[in-house]
Amino acid sequence: MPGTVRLPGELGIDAARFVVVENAPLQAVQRRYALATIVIPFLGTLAAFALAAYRPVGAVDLGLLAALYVLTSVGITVGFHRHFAHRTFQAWPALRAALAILGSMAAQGHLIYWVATHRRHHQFAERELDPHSPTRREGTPLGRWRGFWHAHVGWMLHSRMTNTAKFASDLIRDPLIARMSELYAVWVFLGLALPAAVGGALTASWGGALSGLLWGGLVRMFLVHHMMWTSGSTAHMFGTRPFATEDDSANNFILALPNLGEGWHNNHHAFPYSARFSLRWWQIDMGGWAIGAFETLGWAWDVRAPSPEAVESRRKAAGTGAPAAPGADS
Amino acid sequence: MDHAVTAVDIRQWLAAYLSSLLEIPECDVDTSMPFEQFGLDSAAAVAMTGDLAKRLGVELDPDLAIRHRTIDAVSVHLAERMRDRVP
Repeated sequence: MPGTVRLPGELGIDAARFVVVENAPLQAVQRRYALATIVIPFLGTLAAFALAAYRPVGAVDLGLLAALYVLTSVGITVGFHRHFAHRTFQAWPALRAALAILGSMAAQGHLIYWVATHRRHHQFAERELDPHSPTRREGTPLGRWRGFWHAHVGWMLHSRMTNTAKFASDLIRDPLIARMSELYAVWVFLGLALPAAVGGALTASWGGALSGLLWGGLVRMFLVHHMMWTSGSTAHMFGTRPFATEDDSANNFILALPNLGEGWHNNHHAFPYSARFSLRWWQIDMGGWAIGAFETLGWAWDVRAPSPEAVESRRKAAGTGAPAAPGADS
Repeated sequence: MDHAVTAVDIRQWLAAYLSSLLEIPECDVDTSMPFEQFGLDSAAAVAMTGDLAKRLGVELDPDLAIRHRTIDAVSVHLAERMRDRVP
């Protein structure tokens, strides 16, 4: 029937097949890049500590580390995650481009691939097609810890590739975003060259350039990687669960500080459309504050958040799965 | 397929494939529109080419749908190639 949507079965294709890509050569290339992405910042971090024995770590190095840590983390949580993956707010093209570049500088993969994989995670959380669930190794010896490792980094080397057309065709059709995503390698290079150039210029030395590259580039990448990857691992294993969700997502106050609000992961899975991951005054969510600042400046609008009634109606009573009386705390 | 594969066969299969993948009615699949305007990036185009190769039982260049950017272009190119091979 020309007027109807064709089902994968009619084409002799398994429905789950469109979620992931079955293409061995493509998968092999992707896993090589993933391995480099995991290992190079780790080696760079070791090198930075080794170099520190010969050349004291300076204020310039730590300044570059802090500045790029915050900027690229904003790129990931505010840009990749809250704006591009969940469309929790609208923004001017210049801000969208800046967030796409900063997030790409964190070296967590092409924007479009990142978004597609994350949307797949929400659709299949803790189930067979979840790209990174810590429950994946249950029933094997040390399954809990192997599951942790799988959800943290192992999935990038073992999970099947996400089909970008299935999950992110809206972004692929957006010329600005498609271009930003294609230029991924340029942005990763910029994330290394920029701290090297600034470190070299401010100290007027090659040693300063190397040190800037290591601390502002690779150490920063290593830290942002592992702080953000806790969203897949730690935040699906440990913490509090004020909301009943169909997955194991949990809130962690301690994690929410370094990952700019991502630690409020149970809140996020309960209200994925919300730009703010904090649902209590004491829940520190620096990514949400950044969106508030963009809104005040007029750079962002249509910032979505659940109503207090919606939040209360989803909240569990302590120790049960039942909704609590309004006003009860978690 | 039990008869010589024609451009029409390939065009119909690719249109059905995109209808199914993107959950859009088959009549909305414009066979002269570049794949990226449907929301297929290069990785998705390579994956689609792999599925087509499996369906046709032939080897295809992974970047076929990147060099020939529309359903029409892929169908015509492939049908010519297959006709040349099978007299």
